Amino acid sequence: MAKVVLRKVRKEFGSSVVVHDIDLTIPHQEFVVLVGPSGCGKSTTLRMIAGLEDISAGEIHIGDTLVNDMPPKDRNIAMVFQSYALYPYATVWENMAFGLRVRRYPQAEIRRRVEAAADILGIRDMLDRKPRQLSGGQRQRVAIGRAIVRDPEVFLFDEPLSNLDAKLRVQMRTEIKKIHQRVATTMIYVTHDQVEAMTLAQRIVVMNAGRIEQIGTPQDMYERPATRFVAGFIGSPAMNFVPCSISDGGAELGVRIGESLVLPVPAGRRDRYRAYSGRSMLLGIRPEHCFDAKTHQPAAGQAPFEIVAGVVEPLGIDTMVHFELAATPVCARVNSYAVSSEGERLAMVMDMNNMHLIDPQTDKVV
Amino acid sequence: MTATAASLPPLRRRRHTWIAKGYLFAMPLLVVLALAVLLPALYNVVIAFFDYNAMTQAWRFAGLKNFVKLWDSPYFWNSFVVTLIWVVGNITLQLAVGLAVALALNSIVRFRGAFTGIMMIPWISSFVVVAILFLWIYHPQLGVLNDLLLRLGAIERPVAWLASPELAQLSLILANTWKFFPLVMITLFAGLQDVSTEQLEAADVDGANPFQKFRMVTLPTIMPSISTAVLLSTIWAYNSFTLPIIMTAGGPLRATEILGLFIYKQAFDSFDFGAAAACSLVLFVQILVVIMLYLRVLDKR
Amino acid sequence: MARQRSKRARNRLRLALAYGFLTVAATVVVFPYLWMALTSFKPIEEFFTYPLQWLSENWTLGQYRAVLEDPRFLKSLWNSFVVSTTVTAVSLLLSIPAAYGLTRLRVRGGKGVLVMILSSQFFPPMIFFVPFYIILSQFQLLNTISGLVFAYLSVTLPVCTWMIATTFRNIPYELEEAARVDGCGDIRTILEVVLRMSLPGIITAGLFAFVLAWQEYIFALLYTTTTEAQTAPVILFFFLGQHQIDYGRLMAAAVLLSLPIIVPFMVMQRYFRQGHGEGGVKG
Repeated sequence: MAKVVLRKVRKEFGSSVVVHDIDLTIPHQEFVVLVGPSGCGKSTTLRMIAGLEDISAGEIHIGDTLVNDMPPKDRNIAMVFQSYALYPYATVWENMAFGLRVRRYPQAEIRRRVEAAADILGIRDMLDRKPRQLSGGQRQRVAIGRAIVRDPEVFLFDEPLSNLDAKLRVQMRTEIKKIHQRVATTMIYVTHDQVEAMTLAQRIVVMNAGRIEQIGTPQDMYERPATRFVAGFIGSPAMNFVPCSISDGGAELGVRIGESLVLPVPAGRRDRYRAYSGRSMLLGIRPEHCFDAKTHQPAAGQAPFEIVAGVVEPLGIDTMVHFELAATPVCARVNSYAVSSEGERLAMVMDMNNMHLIDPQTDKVV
Repeated sequence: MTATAASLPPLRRRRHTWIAKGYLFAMPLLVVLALAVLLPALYNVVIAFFDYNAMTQAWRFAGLKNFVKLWDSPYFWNSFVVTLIWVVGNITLQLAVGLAVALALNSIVRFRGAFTGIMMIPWISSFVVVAILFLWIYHPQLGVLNDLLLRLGAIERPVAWLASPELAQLSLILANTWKFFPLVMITLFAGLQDVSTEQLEAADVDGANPFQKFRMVTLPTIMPSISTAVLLSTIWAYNSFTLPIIMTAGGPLRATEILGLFIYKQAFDSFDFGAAAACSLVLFVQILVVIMLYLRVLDKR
Repeated sequence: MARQRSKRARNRLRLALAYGFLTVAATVVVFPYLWMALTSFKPIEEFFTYPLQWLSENWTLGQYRAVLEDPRFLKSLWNSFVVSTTVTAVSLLLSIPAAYGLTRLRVRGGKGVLVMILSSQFFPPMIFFVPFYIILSQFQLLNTISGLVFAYLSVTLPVCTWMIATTFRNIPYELEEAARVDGCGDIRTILEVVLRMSLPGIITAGLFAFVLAWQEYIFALLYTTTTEAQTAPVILFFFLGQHQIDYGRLMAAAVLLSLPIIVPFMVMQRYFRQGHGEGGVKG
């Protein structure tokens, strides 16, 4: 049983604070992904859990043990590194067996575990090779295998797929997910790639500038981002942010964009938004929540508007169209046949049920 | 961020304890080096300003007397000039041979390792063995060099390679080049690995001939390696001792008495420790000037 | 088409030139040793034939027997061996931890200290002639093995430290961290990862120290005057200084002196070259 608990964990390098007093509880067997841009402190957090980095303040518990001052070797964790960190002079077999040999497992047990792990990863016939005779994907498998054989309480992944090419990355992503289902251990995974986070995680922790922005399931993150940062970070292509204000028309409530455009707020949200009327706010709307009116009849809570198409990017299944709302660049995902060329006038529909309203003073989603 | 985090030291917060620990690991070495390098070097500076009486074994402060003595000594100036010729001759020959071999090695694939290995033999050879080999090869009556040249008809009677003032220096330089060209070769060979194939192909497309390609692409790329090689072989030429002392001992008529030999004779033939120390400082300064020039050239790039 | 063929022809010509030149150069490089070996097996009478007889008709091991029956030479070989192994052991013992401390522990100024240590290599040996003589005589170390070891350390330590530091610096930190996660403590991480990874560099440094001490001549000449501590190179020179130089015996002795360097070098050639390519300055 290994849940991982971080309490007010802080990391300073010299005078700069890299991780600000974060609290995080990861239940047993959960797959958690720490995601965020470069320098957000996600890797440092992982390395503090691993014991590779000292903790400036706070507590880290693995299972029921306080591990603050425990060296990595005693933490019963396994880690997969970005550069794989395989021992170049040793064979695949020796690489995978090393952690067990150090812990003085009996020879037969080592053999059983290494072979079992090799079977899971499909590297059984490569056990005699040296790392330099392997491809990037194979090396990655060995690095994961080295972690699996240990049967650790906690699995740590530090950007394990970022050195692989795009196709292999997708494939390994699926495999890592399968491995989690098979070995059912607590897994903490660090990445800067939100797609990786969305596809792998049971819960996502979005970090920014050394702080946790939001914790939640992938669906939560997508549908109910808590901050402007999360709203913009999760989802691809990124959410559009358009300056707006809330205009209070008694029973009706509208999102006013620029001079002339007013989009009605759906009934369910009016009470929430009323308090902000008259203030300048940000409207957040994902490209996939703007449709073209030709193929999509407006339903309840969906508001029509008109645009002049800018750059048009056909993707095959649908087309990205760029345009401007109140001098702000906006992008929408429309039907492939709805628009063909720049400069075309286009009738659009915005799904206001999926809109987000952000207070620019706090950057919080209201 | 991950990239930098990965290369960060494991426990950076304990920076101070780690600094102490790092130097603690280095302490034994630093102590021995202080005793075996720093102390003697400083001691040498002190000795240069003292007079040593071999009979009474007494030291007396001499001020600049030792340096004045050098300045007035024709033998010192002879050695000074001989050393310059020695250094320039060695650099030129070593660079020419080293570059030629490096280029040849770089243009082949098969047997490259074997050839490189053979070329390195002189470098790892013992100085004494090299000196003896060349003494034997240069031997006026029994030497194979004269025998070979006589057979080929290049000379009519045996040549006294090491016994004639005109030839001794050249013969020594040739032997020394045999010993040292591998150092230049390996340095330049490493530099040649940085020459971009794309640039060479671009020059090909532009219609450059092999010589132009060498001048426009290869040479600029290996220029840093060349200056490093020149620096190393200069320092080594200045520091020469074993080969000349065994092969000619400075003769004939002091024609090969480079500064190293001059210092040796001052110290252990005339027991003038002060003058020897002073002269070794002069030699050291010459080397420093070369290093400074080298750094200046590097700076310019 | 024609242009391509001519290009291929040119390439072939270039290759032929390169191989031709290298063969000539290799011959020049090997010839002195070949000549030495030929001489060492030649009976003395054949030395004086004119023109020279390159290949002997009566091979003999007489010269080797003479050399190996000479107690002075045997003693000097033994001295050389003791000096060289001691210098190698002490150099590695001191420079490995120092290189570790100055590179892997990321001390402030570590790189600067390393550069300073290496730059002492630019001191001409002549500045040590007199001070070493005086220091060694003060401590009664003239004519002793320890005195020679001390003098040689001044050359081997800086170079060994630099070589080993260079290989240490190239080990990725993630590898050390992986070992820690795998369950290694400090010492085991150093032994199984850092040292294991840099073994080629360490072997190179050790070889360097051994070869340097084995062939060193200047300090041995200056600081040993009795057979008690004289090393083989000095004795070899002593053979030379005799009234009637016996070149046959000299060549046999030179062969014996060269074998312990050239044989391991040929075996380790790859390591050796790699190490010098990376950070070697002196040879």
